[in-house]
Amino acid sequence: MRYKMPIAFLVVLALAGSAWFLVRARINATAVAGTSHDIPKPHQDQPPHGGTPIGLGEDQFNLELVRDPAAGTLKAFVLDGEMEDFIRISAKVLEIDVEHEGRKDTLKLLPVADAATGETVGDTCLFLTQADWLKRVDHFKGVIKNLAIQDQKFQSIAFSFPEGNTKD
Amino acid sequence: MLFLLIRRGLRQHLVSTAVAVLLVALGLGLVISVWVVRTEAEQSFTRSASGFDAVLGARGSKLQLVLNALFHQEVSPGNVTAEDFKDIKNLPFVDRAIPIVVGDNFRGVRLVGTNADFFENLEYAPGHVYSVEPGGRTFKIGEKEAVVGSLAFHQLGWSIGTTFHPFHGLDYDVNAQHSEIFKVVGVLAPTNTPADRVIWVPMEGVQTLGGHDPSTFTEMSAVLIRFKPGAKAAGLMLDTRYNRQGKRLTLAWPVAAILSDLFSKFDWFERALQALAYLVAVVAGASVFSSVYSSMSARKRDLAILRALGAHKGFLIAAVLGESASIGILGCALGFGLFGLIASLVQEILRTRIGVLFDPWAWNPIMVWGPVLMLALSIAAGAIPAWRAYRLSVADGLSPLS
Repeated sequence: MRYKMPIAFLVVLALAGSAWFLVRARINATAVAGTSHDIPKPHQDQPPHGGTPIGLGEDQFNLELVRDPAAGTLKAFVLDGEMEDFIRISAKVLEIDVEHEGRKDTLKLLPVADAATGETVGDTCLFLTQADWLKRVDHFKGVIKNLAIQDQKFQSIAFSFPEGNTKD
Repeated sequence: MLFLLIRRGLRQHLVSTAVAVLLVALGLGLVISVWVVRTEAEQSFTRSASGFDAVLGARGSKLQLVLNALFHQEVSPGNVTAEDFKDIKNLPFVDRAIPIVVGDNFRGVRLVGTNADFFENLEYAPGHVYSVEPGGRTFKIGEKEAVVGSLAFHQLGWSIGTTFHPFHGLDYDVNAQHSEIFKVVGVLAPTNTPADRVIWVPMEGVQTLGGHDPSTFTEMSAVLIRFKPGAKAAGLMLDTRYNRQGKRLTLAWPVAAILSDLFSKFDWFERALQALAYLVAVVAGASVFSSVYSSMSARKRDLAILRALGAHKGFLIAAVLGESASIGILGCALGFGLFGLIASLVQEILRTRIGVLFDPWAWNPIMVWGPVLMLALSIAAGAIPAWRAYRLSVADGLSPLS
């Protein structure tokens, strides 16, 4: 009986202290959750337009192929190894030998200028072509003939669309 | 009887009681103020983004773009061409694209050029559209007319029909007066957003002012963008196009995240204030302890007499704890008053300087937890004196003092 009350006081003191820290932690968590309007970060190793990535070299660069079946177009974006940054190149044309529906063909993708991005022919990361068969064919095989990016040259890069050429 | 005993204890050591109450009030007032100002200010800023999802501007800082175009602070990082405006306005997922042109002022109040779309059913908050107060009208495109934000209108002491010469630049320079004369034709109905702090004029009115570079007559400072409902991927798509693929323009998106980023830059300051507030709270607890302890020691004899007259030990404990709880309650009440004072000051500064409406009395959990914990701390501070009262024997209490 003699020590009951002092012990009770100490328990009250300890409870009050614990509650203080618990509530502080909870309020901190609420505040953090309440302000978590995360700025979308680039998805590393994910093609920015959700297209088919084709690795060039030892993860040095990537080519993202995006087919628009409604327009029958194929776009190619030149990207860095992590697919975070767009790489502008001076190529006049991007040639891809393709095999579709048992036939062989060559797609010539031309550089696209865009005032909004500041890209010009000769300094762009976007190449585009249009072909009617692209409206109906969603699987084909291709080989990128020649491509120079910065001081690197790539030749005969084989791939499947839409699988790509990733080795993973 | 218990109440009388507590009251007597408090009054007997009025000075130390008052100091303890003030410290509890200061502790609570600071704790609540730090929390509420931080959380509510951020929400107020986000609400004041006037319902726009993104801002398109010249290449530069996203934060600078948002502050310049939506909050009318900072300088414009550069210009956007008429083609850029047309390009983004015509995108299928863009609901509204409003051009903004800045670069002139009237005695420090910004002139903001825009087009007629600004007054056409444009919501700045759900269910609230920009409109002009009765008795006025919106400006006519091509005319030197102005619609004045409600805060600016009262600040300048103008009336409908007042004419004025704008000044070049965002800062008032008495030597930089333009020769053109603008006429006030309307007052923007209060929106509680930064739009209330500026003078709205037709875009062409600002672009073609004398002294401006003719090559920039069709350019604008930024474009405010609202996406169509459901166009969730629109922001990401444009972010990729303008910010990653492009090198000319910057898309500030999402606005809320950019503002959140702004507030996170002040985290260190907020933490320092929090630490200070907690320190004051702890000192307040120590002060309550000191006050109750000295009060209890001074009334040792009275308590012993009460015990001799048959008072239960629990009664003495209740008296001591009641004293510390009373200090806590009084301090909490005063603490809310202090918070109200600090919050009113912050509210006025934000309203007049930035045009952001800050509601300090909006629900925040700290308003319950703060007083509860401060009260618990005060009661806990009375635990040791209460223990001493509990252990006090009649013989000890009544023994001669010398």
